[in-house]
Amino acid sequence: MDLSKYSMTELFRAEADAQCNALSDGLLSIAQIKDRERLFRNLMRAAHSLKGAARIVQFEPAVRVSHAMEDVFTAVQEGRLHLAPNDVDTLLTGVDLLREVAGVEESDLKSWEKSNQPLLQEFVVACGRLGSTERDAGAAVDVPAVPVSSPPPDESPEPSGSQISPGSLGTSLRVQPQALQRIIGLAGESLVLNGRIAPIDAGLRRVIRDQRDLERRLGELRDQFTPGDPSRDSLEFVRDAASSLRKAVERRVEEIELFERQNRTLSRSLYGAALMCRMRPLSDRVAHLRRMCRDVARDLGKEVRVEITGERTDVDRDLLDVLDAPLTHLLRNAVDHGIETPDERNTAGKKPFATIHIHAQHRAGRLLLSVSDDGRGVDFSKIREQVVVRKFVNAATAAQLSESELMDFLFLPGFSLRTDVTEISGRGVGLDIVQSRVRDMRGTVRASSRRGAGTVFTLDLPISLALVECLFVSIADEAYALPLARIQRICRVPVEDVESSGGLQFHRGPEGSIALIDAAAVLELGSTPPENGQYAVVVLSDGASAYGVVVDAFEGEGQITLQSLDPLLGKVRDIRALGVMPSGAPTLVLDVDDFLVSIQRFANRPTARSLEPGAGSGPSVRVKRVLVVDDSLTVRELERKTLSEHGYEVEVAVDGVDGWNALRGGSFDLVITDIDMPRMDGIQLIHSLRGDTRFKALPTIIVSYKDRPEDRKRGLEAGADYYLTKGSFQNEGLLNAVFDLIGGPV
Amino acid sequence: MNSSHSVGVVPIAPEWRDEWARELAAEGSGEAKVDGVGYLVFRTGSEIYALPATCVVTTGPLPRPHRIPRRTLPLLGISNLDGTLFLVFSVRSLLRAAGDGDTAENMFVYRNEDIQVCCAVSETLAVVPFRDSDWLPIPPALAPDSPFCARHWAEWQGRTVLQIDASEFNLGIREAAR
Repeated sequence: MDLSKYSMTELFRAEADAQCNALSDGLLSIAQIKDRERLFRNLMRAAHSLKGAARIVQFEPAVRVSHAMEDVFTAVQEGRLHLAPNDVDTLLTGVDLLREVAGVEESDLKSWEKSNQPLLQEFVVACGRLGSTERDAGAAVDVPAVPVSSPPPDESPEPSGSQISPGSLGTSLRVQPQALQRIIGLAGESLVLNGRIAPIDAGLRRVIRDQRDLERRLGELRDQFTPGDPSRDSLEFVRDAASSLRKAVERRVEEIELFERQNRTLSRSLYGAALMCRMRPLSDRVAHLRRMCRDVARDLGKEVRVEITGERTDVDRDLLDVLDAPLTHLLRNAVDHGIETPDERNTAGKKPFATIHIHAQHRAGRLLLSVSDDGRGVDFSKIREQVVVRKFVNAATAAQLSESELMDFLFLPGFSLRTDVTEISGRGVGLDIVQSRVRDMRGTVRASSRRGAGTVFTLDLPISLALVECLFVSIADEAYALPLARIQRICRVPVEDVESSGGLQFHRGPEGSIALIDAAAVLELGSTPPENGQYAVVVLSDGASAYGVVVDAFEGEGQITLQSLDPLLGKVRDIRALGVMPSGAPTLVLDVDDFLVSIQRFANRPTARSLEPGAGSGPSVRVKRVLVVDDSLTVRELERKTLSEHGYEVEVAVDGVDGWNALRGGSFDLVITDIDMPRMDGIQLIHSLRGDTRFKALPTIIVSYKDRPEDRKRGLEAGADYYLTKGSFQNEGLLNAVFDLIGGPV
Repeated sequence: MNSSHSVGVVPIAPEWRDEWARELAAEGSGEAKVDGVGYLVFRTGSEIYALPATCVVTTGPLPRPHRIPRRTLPLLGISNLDGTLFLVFSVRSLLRAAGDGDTAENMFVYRNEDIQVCCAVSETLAVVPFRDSDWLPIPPALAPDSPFCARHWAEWQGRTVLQIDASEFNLGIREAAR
């Protein structure tokens, strides 16, 4: 790596970041490391290196702090000092100070030093007093009072980041996302340019064929003359000359072909490397969580050991940034709610220290991240009790809910089993945020628990928000990409195996009879004729039903970088993002959830079925139309059923975006919407309605589990006409509100 | 048809080049000055338009756009220009311009405010300097037939050039994208 591009201060910051990580990791692993001499040697080296770097850039406060730490580590190495357990906290304060001062702008350094003088002085004095009160070996770090730490790391490696290296500098090198995107674009373009060599090569091969033909004709002409005839000799000479020229061109063509192969390999590697720039190991985001758990546990008088496995699992950097908040919430919840105090654990026959295990792995192109603890587990009877108290369901229904269904209530906003609210948790906001963030990442979160044995949260996420493994297909003669993770299978269906019923076409597959839907027709781009007597079919499923989506042709699989749609376009129905095919052609990446909704609508359209004469004729009676927007299938269907039974015509949408699209494409008298939904929530939907002249006056009802006064206020302020809680299904609340706003169904 | 993606290769009007040369050659003149503002002059259908050259990033042949489902003219789709994806708009449709069929084989990349899009046109002709005094108001009687963002016209090589107001052109693009 060319370090000359960085200023000295930038290099110092990179080193400070690496050395602070080394110091922090080393200090937190004191209790587990057996080779203590080596550990303190590494700690001393980290402090020493940092002091030297700070001196070069004249960051005097950092020199003072690292010097004080270096003295401590040297004293421990020489046996002059035995650290007491709480001394680790003091030294970690020093690490915090070093991080802070490294981030200060050079111009602000003096004022920072002035205002932090007491803190710096206090730290230096505290370092001088370390171990002074407990110098006997028994109170030393062999038995830490707060054994919160990582598992014993491998004894052999040095603490990570103990030396500055191109890799460690890389952790602090900031690259604008647009610049990275541009590099990926250019790398893709080099692939495309390389693809243009092949037609040139093919053209030259044609020239060679013509030359051979010329040689053959010259030979035929030569043979018309008798041996010894000067014309025959002349023609022989010309033919030889033509042959030499052809061979020269052949050699050049071979060189071009070799160049093309080498350049293709290089371009592919460049493209792959450019894509990999987006990936970072999970350890970039989880290392600091050990410290966080340690601090929280100490405040609560608990003992926790954090084990992390799969730290080297590569994850897209954008995803890493978004993961921080959900992981922090899960860990804080685990320490506060899940883990017992040492006394409670002793009584339960458990070790006094609890273990929280974070495990990451790639599976089937997804990132599986689990956070498990060996704490007290969830008390399901308490959840049942709360569910009834909060009037989500009645007591009889609550008694029938499975443990898995009960766990789902923990993700509701404001739902908490804690009766007291602490600084750590208890307001019931953590898991709500976790679920919302995970949904934003197009992932899912599941929870399971066993009373007395602990709780596990499993996050199922894409490896990257931007890189997606796709199946490329052509629809209406243009390129489209479908995320592989959403495809059940692909197949070719002979025309004679297609059955017709009720105007729709079906094919019998392993999953039973599936409807064949023309992708081009759904996207309003025309229709797809069979190719060579076969249909190319992509089988997609929404969980309840499978559909065979007919495309023009399969064009292969590959990884593409998702690019956002131009904000000028707003939401484009059925399209999630843009990408560039290996050929350089633009491709549209289908939003499978959206597309499945469009397929359902298409399949239900009268025009999608055979148009029978007279169908749809008769007296026109206008039935009032209601749009139900909810991401819960159960709630959606319950509302649809309730309203349909009372004569209203009901359409459903699975989230705010789908609802907004439905509104723009149809005429409705009323909208009933949930609040918490992926992509666009109910509040945003109502804001959109009220901001659009077409829907400004459209009556709107919110139906939500959220029943806090502030939620109600927020909904009504957004412009909803009614705010009902989901318990209103059990009474006439919903129907009364609908009748109040739009009257009867006709 | 232009074969390059550089605005620099759009033919520079000879009078402007000569004027520059005179300015630069003028002894003791200090900083060179050119009278007039550069405009990209292009044809779409049978009409000629001029757009401030400061809003034009590049010109070149138009790669075939990928259509966007359920979106119609003036939005033609998306094209890849040197590794970057751009929305492509038919300028003829955007301006509701007159003329025979829109061949739109060429394009220029337009950048203004937060908008950066590819504009499909029949032909890019030249970068031409126009003075403020060159532009004349379009007579009220003809205004209804003029594109919404054209208020002035000038004469260039014996032809009528309609001046496009960039801020109004922006509004047109925003409306067409939705």
